[in-house]
Amino acid sequence: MARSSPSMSHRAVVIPTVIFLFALLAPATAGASQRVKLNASFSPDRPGASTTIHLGFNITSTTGDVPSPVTDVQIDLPAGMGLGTTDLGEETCDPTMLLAVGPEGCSPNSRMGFGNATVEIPVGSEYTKIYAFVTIYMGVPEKQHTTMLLYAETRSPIVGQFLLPSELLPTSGIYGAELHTVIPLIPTWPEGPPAVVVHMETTLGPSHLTYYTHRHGKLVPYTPEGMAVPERCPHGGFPFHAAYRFDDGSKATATTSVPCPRTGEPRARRGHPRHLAPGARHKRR
Amino acid sequence: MKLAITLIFATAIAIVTSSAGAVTLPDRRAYELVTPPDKNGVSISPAVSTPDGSAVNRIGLIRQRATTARVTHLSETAQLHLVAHQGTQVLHEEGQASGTLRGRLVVVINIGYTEATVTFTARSSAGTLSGRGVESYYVSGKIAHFSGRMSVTGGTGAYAHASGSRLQTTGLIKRAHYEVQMTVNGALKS
Repeated sequence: MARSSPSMSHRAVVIPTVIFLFALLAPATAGASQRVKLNASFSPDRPGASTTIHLGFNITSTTGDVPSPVTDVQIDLPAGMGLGTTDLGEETCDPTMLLAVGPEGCSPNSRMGFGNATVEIPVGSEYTKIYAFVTIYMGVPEKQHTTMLLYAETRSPIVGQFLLPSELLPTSGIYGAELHTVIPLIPTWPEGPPAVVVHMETTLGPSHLTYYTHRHGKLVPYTPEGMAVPERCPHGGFPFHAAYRFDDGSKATATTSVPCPRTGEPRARRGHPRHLAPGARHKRR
Repeated sequence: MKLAITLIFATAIAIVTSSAGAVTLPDRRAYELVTPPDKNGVSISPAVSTPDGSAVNRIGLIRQRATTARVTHLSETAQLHLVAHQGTQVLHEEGQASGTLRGRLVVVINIGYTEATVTFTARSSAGTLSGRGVESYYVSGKIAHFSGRMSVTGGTGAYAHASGSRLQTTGLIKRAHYEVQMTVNGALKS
């Protein structure tokens, strides 16, 4: 028994040391989680105005390393808004045409917004950032749900494209709908780790959108009507909430709100002469 | 039967009013059922006494039809046009309906992202019929669709007692000018 004591003591020191070394050598994402920062704004933000919603997120890892790839995003949009009498997405875009031909495969009248994304891709043992242009199109409905297509393309240093279908789903409470996007893992090279979306900024609305209509045999450009800023602002502003799932199984949520317009700010007059039949009138609440 | 009910009822009132509160019912009950629950189509309205309580000046006895609720299959199609809107979410539509009611149809559609609350009032020569429902809503390019079930919320004339809670509704909205095509089908009890 007396001789075994040193051995037991030695084993007691070695085992924690090995566990500690394993912990150091384990992949950086093991046990790590992701943090998400959400931002939203309306431009313009006057009540009743045709507005463009700016929505963005940043994903960081709590360890400072490259985050785990996001695989599912659910963004709850504030109540009191909707596609209602907007012109957004007057045409639908066929995703197969979009992937086969690119943006030229879909009508300009199917565009609903623009944006950009930052994607981290592995190059050797390091990750490098690449930037993607994002265009949002009105998709073909799925199971009686309005769908949108987030089409992203990179041009330098590598040329690539990926398509993220989103659908508008019912929700309740202070939110009007949930925009649900499933993000498949973006392959890089065989056996290589997937690319990681770490940042995205998008718009949903008429800003920088030009639609076309035929009038008297001519193609006439026009700016589509966007969603209106609700007349009534809830206490604390117009709420946005987002829930993210990551490839490592972790989840993260984020909330933000668009501040209420300043009181006394002139209410936007909103008329749709294009939509209203002769004699029709715009009612004010 | 009618005479028997009248006599029972009148006798009960006579006991209550003539004794000026001195009547005591068995088990100290404050009331007693003097007409049977099944009155064979006859309803009795509350009696109203004179100010001094000495007599009853009216006994409401209303003869009603002893019939079960009539069920009509409602099948209505309407073409509506936009007459006004509130903000960007609420459309006021009007047009002519054809089918069972065959009259003027006024519809208000409050549109969200995924739901549309639809209220309607149909005016025909026989009366008016109103209803409401929350429908699922989605957009497909130039056309927006809504579908769901509506319930009758009121009526006048021939539809004064109308009811129905499973009126299947489908509609489409042409987004260029917000013209609406709408159909309503279901059982209407009246």
